[in-house]
Amino acid sequence: MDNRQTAVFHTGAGRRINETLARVVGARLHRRLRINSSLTTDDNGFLVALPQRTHVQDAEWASLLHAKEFDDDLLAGLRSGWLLRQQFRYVANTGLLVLRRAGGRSIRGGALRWNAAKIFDRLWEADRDFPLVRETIRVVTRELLDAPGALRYLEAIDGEPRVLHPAAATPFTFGIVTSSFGDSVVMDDRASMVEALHERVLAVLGESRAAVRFVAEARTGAQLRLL
Amino acid sequence: MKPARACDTYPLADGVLALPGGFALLTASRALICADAHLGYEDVMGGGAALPLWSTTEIVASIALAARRHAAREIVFLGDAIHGAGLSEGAARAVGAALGVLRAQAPVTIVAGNHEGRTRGVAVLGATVEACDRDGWTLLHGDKPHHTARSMIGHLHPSLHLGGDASAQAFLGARRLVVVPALTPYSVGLDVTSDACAGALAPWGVERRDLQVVAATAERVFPFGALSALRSALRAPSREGEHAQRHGRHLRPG
Repeated sequence: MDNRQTAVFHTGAGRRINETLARVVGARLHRRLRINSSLTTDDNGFLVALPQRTHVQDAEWASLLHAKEFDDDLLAGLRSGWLLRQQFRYVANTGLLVLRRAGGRSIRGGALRWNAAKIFDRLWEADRDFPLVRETIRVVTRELLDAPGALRYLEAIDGEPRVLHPAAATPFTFGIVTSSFGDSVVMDDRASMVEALHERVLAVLGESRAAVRFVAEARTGAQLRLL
Repeated sequence: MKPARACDTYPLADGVLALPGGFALLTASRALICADAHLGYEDVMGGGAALPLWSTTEIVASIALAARRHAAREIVFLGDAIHGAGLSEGAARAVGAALGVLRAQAPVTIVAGNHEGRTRGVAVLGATVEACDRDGWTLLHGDKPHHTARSMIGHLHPSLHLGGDASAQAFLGARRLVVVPALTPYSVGLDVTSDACAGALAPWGVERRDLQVVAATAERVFPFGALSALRSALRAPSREGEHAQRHGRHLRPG
């Protein structure tokens, strides 16, 4: 798809479990190979798309589904996406940390979202055990996603998953590819992204057109988007 | 103007250095230039929800550190020092106190920008000016193009987009024009390789091939070479529809 390597995991585990597993897989890809990824999920499975010019071996794909360090990987996969931040707004509303009315007037939706996102980012850095952060994690991992179910699924896997390379996408992938449930796992910090882009530009700018094109692809490869 | 290795400082134009953190330094007068700090941003954007002024504290601390590190004899704000002239009383007091810390370190000159509004932010910032001259450069905000021999402006929030919502501060430097990136952490900025940036630069009469791009992180600066070369390299996928996606992410400057 778009000349990007994509992997479809056919689990048949239900959307909540698939959303959980996708984020765990995204976090593991980054931890092992420093690869950011975009995710799409539905009831039958989930899809992981890599940036252009990155490639993961079959054995690596097959080894991503296991129960070790599940909680840490799930949290890492959630941190860079939108789900925690979005849910924090509602939790923080209830906890009166984000006000809907202040100074006698209503606060508009955009400002509410902005306030909640900024407070969440600060709290995450300062104290991950803050009760409203803990509650947000609980709501996301237990009510929106199904972390216990996903863990049970991983523990129940008997043997290594098979990796197939079908000539064309199977009918089972249609729902996954066209699903509107998506997120991204971008775990690189800004300084290392600048450094990586600069290294590529340094290496090739001013050389052949093919090399210049490689630089362009290197940057778009870092552009993660919802499918 | 070829890309060069990352370094601690990099010459942007005659007598102007790009520094980490998005500061410029005029070497003769040792004036530290900071653009678009948007102090009090949380107070304005939070809709009165009394958010702490996180960015004000952090920006002022970074200015103080840069001024100390580079032995600045003056600190110049290049416009939009505050996000809005109508700050709450508490926020205005906090911004005033933060500026007081800087004034204790070196004389502070504040050029007014469009966010200072009609009052030019005098109630919060004290005296402001519309422009000032240092080392042969005219320092102004840049919301209204002025044709001077050599101008240093802010306003455009130039940045290098890295994908997703991530971007890095980026200086633009030419013989007659230097654009200093925004200090506020809340703006993704205007991608220097975008058409919107080209349009914003047009009134200043500078050719892309004459402008160099220098990105900045907190620790180092990264010379990316001529804007025209960088633009053609990074925008190659636009023919395949990638540009439209990037273009949609641009935030309006200022």
